Amino acid sequence: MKKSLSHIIIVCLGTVILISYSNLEICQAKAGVYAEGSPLACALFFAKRLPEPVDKVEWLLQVATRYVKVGQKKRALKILFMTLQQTEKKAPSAYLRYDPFWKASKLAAIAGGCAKVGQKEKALKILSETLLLIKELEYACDKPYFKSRALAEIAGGYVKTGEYERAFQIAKTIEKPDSEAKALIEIATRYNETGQKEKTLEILSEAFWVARTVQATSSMETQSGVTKLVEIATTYNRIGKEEKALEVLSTALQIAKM
Amino acid sequence: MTEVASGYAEIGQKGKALEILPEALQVAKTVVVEGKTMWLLTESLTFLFIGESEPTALATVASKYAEVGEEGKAIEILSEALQAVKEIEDFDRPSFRAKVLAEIAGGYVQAGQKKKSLEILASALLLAKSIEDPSIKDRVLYFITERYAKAGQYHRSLRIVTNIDRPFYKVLALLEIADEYSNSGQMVDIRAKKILHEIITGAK
Repeated sequence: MKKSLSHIIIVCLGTVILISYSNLEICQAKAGVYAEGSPLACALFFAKRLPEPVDKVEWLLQVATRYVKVGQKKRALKILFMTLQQTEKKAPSAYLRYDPFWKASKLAAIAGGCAKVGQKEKALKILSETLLLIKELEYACDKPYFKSRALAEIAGGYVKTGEYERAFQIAKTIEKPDSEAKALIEIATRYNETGQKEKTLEILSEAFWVARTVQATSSMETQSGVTKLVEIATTYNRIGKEEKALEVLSTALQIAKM
Repeated sequence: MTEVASGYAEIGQKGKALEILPEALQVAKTVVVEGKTMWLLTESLTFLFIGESEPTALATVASKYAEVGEEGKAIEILSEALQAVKEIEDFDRPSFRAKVLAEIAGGYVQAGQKKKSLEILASALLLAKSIEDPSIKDRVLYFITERYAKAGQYHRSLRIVTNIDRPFYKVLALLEIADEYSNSGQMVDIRAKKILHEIITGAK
């Protein structure tokens, strides 16, 4: 009897110690989940804790993009969904007055991320909703720079889903030439990656034409136009069109000297 | 102009890039110091330094020379940039000076002068520690962290993150470090993991 009682006590004590140890391990592991992996996991830990929804969306998206890049698709998708939820939270009204198309831009970027991790249907759903959102917003505000930026992001999202024609249609509705050129370069790059040389050349030529029309009214705009032209030139060079690349760079140099 | 030079270098036209860079250098020497602090709405839209300065413009041109393999010319320009920092009175503000020094240090890394780069980064860090405004201090520390990471000093850059208070700049700094790990293919070792744990738990 005494022997079996001491057995029970030992078993109970053992269980208590084991549970306490497990709890301790869980607590340590909680910090460790983020810290032990990498600086990226640690960045995620802090991005989740950013107080401002606008910042949280921006930086969760940045973290997700990097997880996509390193091939951790599952984790990337989880963070993208987390980011999607955050876009539902209201951004500060001062911020929305500054960039009314903020949510549209971010939704399109999330869709692009979803497409990259193989969630094409989800991406297309978000993109069509984002286009509706743009339509709602464009009646209420006149901010061509931000609207153009959001549309370029949407066009980029469609490119990532493989819907190049749709992306091109959207790109052609963009008012600001630097955003239009950005979208066209992305389409041309994807055509090139999929071996469609003729289409690549066609779109690049269009992008070159558009990028030349960037109005250099400020040093930032000049910079943006030059950046696009350099991108176009390097893309031409990648497909063996060195002469065309030189022509584009010469145009870029002229603009840079203005 | 420096970007176009990079474009020429990227498509294999090093000679053409070298034709442009002397002109870019002349332009850099005429850049007037202009540093303003502008706070906008949220931290995502905060720009600490608007505009350029002669030393930063020189550092940019130097990095392009390094890119096309002209390290000697790059070092010569970087030394001019360091001189320019000393000569400009407006650089009294430690935040501005620390940021410019970090930019020059980045140029030295590209020119293969890691030791010199680390010396300059140490001075920048010292200046950063004397910044009173906590938000500006965090931003400058983040900037220095990035340059240490680019110089392959992962532990040191992670260690600086432990001194950054605001989560926003912690995220920015950690992402830069993550990118550098990813670009270099370097593994996160036990020492780095220990510092990461400290960053999370807030231990310094």
